[in-house]
Amino acid sequence: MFTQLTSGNCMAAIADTEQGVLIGYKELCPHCLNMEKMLVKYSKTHPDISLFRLNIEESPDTFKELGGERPPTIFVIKNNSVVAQKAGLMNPKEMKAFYQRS
Amino acid sequence: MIPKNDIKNVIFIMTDSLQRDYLTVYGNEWMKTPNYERFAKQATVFDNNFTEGLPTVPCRRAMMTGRYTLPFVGWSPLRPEDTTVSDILWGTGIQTSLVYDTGPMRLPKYGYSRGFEYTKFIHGQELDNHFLGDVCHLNPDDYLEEESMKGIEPHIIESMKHEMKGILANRQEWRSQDDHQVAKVTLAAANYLENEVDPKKPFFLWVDSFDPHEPYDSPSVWDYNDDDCPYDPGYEGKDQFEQIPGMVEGRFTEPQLKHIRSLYAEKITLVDKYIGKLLDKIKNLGLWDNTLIILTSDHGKPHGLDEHGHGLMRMVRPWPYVEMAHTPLIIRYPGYGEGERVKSYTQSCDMAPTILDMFGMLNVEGKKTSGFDIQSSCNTEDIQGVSLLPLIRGDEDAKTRDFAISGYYGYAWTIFNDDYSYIHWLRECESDDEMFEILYDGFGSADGVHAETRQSEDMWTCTPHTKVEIPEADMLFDRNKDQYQLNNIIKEQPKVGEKMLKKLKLFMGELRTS
Repeated sequence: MFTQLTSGNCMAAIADTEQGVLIGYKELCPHCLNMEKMLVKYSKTHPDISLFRLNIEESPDTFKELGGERPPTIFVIKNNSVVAQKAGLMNPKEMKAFYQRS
Repeated sequence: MIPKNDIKNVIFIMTDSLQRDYLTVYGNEWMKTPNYERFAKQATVFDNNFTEGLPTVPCRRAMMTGRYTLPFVGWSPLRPEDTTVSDILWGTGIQTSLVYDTGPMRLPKYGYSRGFEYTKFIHGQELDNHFLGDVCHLNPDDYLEEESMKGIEPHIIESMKHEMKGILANRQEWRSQDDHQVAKVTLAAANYLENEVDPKKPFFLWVDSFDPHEPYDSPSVWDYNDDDCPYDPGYEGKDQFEQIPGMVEGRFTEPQLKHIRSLYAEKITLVDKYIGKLLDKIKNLGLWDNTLIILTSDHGKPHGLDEHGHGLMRMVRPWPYVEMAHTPLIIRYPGYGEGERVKSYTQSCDMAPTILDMFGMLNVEGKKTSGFDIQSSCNTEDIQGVSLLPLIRGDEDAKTRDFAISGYYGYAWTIFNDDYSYIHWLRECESDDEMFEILYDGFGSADGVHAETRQSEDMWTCTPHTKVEIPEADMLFDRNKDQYQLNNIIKEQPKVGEKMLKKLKLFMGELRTS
């Protein structure tokens, strides 16, 4: 479901993606886990959108380079670049609206 | 759109304020509820059903939308973004109908009757109890004991007597049991089934009886046959059928409380009788084996000390103790689960997915051909509850959850599992803690409800004379030794308390993202 990214391949993956969502997470963060569950549900109705995850404790510099500040943060990828980001919690409906207006 | 199996229809029967402990099928040994008993033998009984958001209106919102309400919204109207069962079924060829006398569902601005293509409202209950006009020969003072008014502000007494005059104005015309509200609602539902519904098409009928909610205007109160209340014969005090709400101590004697509970029990027996008549009609019309039938309620009712209501008379505090939260649920799914009991935890938000699953519409996308954006949002993507049909069928992978939540929006959250129950009282300081941030961040709202409305939403019940007063500290109870939550053990078992609270808060966070 998710493609795991690292500092070594994150920017290249974004540059290679037409439509995608990336979550910046911490391993033991329960809210990150809830957001990943939400993205799984969201992707069922949006199968064309690729899902990525980035462990921000293992790749803090990449997270910072993307503009992230705290987990969980969602990055919207459109046309090979990050076009929007949002920290905090969302449900699938809010995610849909966020993606559409980004 | 029409299901491929033999079951074409769904009848959902809600009886408001029907406390679980007053049904013989749930262990009551001093009452008569033979029709619920008879139905249960041919159906599946759910032993751990809990209403997640109390009371009347949040419960119906969860049942209709399939979404949890507790952390997000209280007693308030349906919003345009809420998608209900009737929204989803509209335009699918399935007939939808609502027969009811529950005032909060009728209030036009509340919107809870929206989407049903056939509606029949029976006048005369709360919010509509001045329908007939003036009372002639009945006097509210004949139904109130003097001490029950002790310490109550005069304007509250006046307000209660005004409400009672409306009730008496309606009741002065009654001459037999068939005049009672539950009789009129169930007879109207039977009439719909016999004369209104198109038998060639599937239908979804929601029957919503406000009885046995107060007033406890049971047959013995009106003395059609000079009978005593069967559960308290020989009582010589007044029939306090519409009690002045508040704390019990100092205002009601134990014999008076027993009589009030007996009038409530008598009313439940009347409800049982007319639900039985409706079930008979369903059978006689040949619908018994092609219709899913659900019997449930929204909450119980406090009437006294300890297990009878933790000191309350009526719902005057936002206290989600077990007598309020643990509710009856019995489902007849023809061909499956006859006489079975289910221990899995079920919630009010499971009703919508169960109903939709029966129609084969649990996973529907919005209608894309209409050209109206609003119709594309009539889909099932928001549903958080689960269908109970796999549980009833005994499917190998069927499961719901191993705990349930309940509570009052903005005031109290509670969690029940097999071993313990925990009540988390939401105090003012809650607004500063992490949980508040979790629920109300994101877009600055939770399900569209802005954070600032959380503590100011004071309309949480329809009971007059209410007061938002909650205990100082959280509570933990042992469900196996103390089913009525009378012995708080949080000081003896703080680690268990911490674990339960953590589980509760994590689940609330999960709801925020689902």
